[in-house]
Amino acid sequence: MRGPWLTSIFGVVLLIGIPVEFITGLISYAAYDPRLNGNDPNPNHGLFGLYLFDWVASPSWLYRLTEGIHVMLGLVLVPVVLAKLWSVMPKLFSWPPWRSISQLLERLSLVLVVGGVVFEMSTGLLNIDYLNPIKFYPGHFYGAWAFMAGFAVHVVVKFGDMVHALRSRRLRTELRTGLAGTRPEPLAGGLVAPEPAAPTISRRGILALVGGTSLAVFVLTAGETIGGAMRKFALFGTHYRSPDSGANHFPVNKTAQSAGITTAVTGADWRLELVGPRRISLSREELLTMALTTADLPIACTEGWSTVQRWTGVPLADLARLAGASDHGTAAVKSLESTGGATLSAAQVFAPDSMLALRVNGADLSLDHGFPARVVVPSAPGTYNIKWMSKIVFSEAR
Amino acid sequence: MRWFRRHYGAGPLHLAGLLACFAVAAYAVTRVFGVSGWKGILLWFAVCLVGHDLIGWPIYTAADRVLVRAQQRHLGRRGFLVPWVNHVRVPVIISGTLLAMFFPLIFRLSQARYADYTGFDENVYLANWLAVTGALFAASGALYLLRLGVGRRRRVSGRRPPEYAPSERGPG
Repeated sequence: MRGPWLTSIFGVVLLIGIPVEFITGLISYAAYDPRLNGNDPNPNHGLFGLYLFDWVASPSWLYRLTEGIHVMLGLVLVPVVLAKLWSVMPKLFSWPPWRSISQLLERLSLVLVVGGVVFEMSTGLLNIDYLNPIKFYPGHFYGAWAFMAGFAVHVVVKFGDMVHALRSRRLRTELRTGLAGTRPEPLAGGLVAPEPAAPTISRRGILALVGGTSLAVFVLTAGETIGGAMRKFALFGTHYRSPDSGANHFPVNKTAQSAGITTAVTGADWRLELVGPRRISLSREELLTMALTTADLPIACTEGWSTVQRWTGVPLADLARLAGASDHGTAAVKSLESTGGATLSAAQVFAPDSMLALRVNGADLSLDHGFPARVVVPSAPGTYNIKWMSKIVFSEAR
Repeated sequence: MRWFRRHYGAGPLHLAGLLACFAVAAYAVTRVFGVSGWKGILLWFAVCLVGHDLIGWPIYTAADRVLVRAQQRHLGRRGFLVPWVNHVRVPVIISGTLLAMFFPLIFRLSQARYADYTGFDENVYLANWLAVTGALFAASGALYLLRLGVGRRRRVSGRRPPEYAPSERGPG
């Protein structure tokens, strides 16, 4: 049942999907603002960092959208990639392995395409499944560049064949052809078996099977970022369940217990330290007496899940002014958790809705959601919404 | 130019494109060298390269062949029956894909980290997977019984049902 037409159908889906994956992936790396102090998960990015730009703090849903697309589209494409690999298997055993130097080089570049696509899928999947046999950030990032190099050449070399194959049959006719009418595609290019067995499935059957598998993956995961009623159907998402109840009933990323945070360090003695031209220390009561702002903002995780909640807190801009900081410096936000922290850009600190959140949905933050106070920055990766805040250092340096 | 084509097998742009591609990939490898744990990353890439072709493909192809042969024996022995092979393939493939994608959750391989990050444990995913698999097989089986019923009724009324095309070249 294999043939150039079927391979090209999968190919055209990936031709659209994979560049979207690459671009949203590059956006995700830029969203980490890796050029700010301490933010870069891939410090030796070299020339691969040339495209980097200052990440924006508006609209607030931007990272939720791009990363939701990156992860959910990536998951939905897995069955298509597997179908594509299945459809070109006979090529692996074509003999002689090459007829010219050009063909040899082409086949070598397929190492990057086949190895690369499986590498990107597996590192992404294992990362969202919380199993990390290798380092995710450098693996997924540098792997993507190697894969895309091979992918670009593969597309240029095969584009003509793909268009030709797509024109050889009409999709509408195929969708009307059941098993009884299914015949092998004409012999060409080594994808079709020379003497195929009688078909046991029609072409439309294969398309329905691959599309149905993608649909199943979508329904069973996408609720994690779409939210609402769909969240409880995300049976293979990691964040389809929420602890607590009431105002704090939404998914947690990293529990207080695992971060070593206990009520002993978040009690009445807790102070937020502001360090800038002026040094100031504020209790939670003092923060609550300041002018508070309320905004609906997402927590959007790099792993693809997200949730929008109504946060109330002190604008970060007000804290910056209190510490005497200028409006073009950066802010290093630090957590009580020893490893927790990030550097925020001026655009993020002075965005109207950026805040040190004290309350969520009208109630105090729970300990798991960052009590006594957490940072919430519009459109930043969720990992920058630092919980259990202890200190903000305003600085002129980047 | 003709000399180039005869010895290389394609135009110079082809060569330039491929060399650029290998240059980018080689540069990516030099970036990986700077990461602690770079050996693991390169090894993982090698595993991915052969993972589908030398591990996944032989397994699922062999399993499918067994399935198709079983159906052929079955159809040969019992005369006409509605072919059932796709009613097994579809739930197996969907359920198997989900297993391949989410096995760390289903087999609780990342339990400690998962619990740290979510506040829950991974016990639920095996049950989720079994429930989804069960629902897929149940739906596929129900559809098969329906087709079987329609097929029998047609046979009684003397019309040959269109679902099963006899093999044209025999099993191969």
